[in-house]
Amino acid sequence: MIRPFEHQSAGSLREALDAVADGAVPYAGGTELLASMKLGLLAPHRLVDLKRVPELAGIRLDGDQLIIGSGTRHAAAESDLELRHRLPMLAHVLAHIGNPRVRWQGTLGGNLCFAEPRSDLAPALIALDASLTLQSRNTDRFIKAATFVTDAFTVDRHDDELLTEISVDTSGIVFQRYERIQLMERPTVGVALVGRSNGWRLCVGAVGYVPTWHDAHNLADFDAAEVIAALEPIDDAAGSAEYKRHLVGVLVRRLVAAAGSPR
Amino acid sequence: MTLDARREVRARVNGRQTSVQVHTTTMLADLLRDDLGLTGTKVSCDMQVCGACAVLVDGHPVSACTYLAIDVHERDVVTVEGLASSDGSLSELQQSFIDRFALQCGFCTPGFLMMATALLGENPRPTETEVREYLEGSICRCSGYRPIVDAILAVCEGRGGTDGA
Repeated sequence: MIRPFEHQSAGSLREALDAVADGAVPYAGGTELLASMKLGLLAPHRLVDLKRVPELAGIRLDGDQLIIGSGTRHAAAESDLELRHRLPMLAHVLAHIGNPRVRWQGTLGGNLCFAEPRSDLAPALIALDASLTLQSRNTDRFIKAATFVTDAFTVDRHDDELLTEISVDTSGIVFQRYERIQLMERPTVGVALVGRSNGWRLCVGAVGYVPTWHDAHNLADFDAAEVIAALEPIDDAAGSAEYKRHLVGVLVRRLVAAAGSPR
Repeated sequence: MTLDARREVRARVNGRQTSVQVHTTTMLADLLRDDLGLTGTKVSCDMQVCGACAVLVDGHPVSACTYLAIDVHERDVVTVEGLASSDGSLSELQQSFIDRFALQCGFCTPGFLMMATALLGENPRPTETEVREYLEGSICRCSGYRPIVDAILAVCEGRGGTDGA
């Protein structure tokens, strides 16, 4: 039984920003928040529903920037033709989040802000060097996905802010692929590799509390041993830390080999 | 605004306009089962993992166990009771589940039927792999899944074949 709470449905971004400034906890799909409330882990006094905020929904292209509204559901984003064409790695990740019900309920913004460590979305967006827009009543803030997740279930969002947009520069991408091992409902290990005309980024997710990433000018500069050494994997039901280190090594070598082979 | 106020939810449920007073804490599964008497929707894991509570909201599958009842206000909801025609004839999927023995204890069956209905709505000609992937969040402890997958593919074949299944 969940603790009683006040509930407000915001009809515009202005209303939503007023509500969070006033102490309401934002929610959209509720796949993580309601589950946590049922488990008694969270007991917000007031919720503001973002599902009917038109400014937060939808995907648009601005030049080569693909801009995804934070309230876009995973299934809607995955089926967006521009996203599939320009960011097939992200479409692949979205198509495998949770199960079809989670994908039709959950939103990209909710997934990022909840910051469940065993997630594929954050490492994929970090590898793509996505930028995030955080808005409050008074200010707009732009930060990189790489610095957004600061700890397990913790992100760089103030209580009076909403994550409104996720923006990815789709120009100059020469390689993008995501490899993962998943044994249960959530990934055990996920590794993303993105190559651009000016360099490469590799990001490892799910094994520890926060994703870790590495930049390299040349593909050959990636060293699986270095990537493994930078991890802080945790033992859990999905596998031991040692097992996760081993899998990361396999996936990193596999991705680097795929990126280096003629296409 | 008061804590856990009762709120009117007006929704279309299985084609009928419905109005119910619910608490803000009421889950959709409880609204369906307790307030509307639609007990076809089951609750098993209660954590969105098993699929027994799957229903369609505006045509898309959701887990009614972890979905606020107030969130279906002004939405269209379909439960397993809404699959048969008004004359009582079963949907193609329901009949195919019977024909292929795709159930044993039957507790998960409403959820599987709703997920299969959603799948064929999105993708009328799924491959076997696509069927199995779509059902990754649906658990059956009796059947071993084979007859369920067969029942779904049989409906597609009846409509003119599958792509590479």
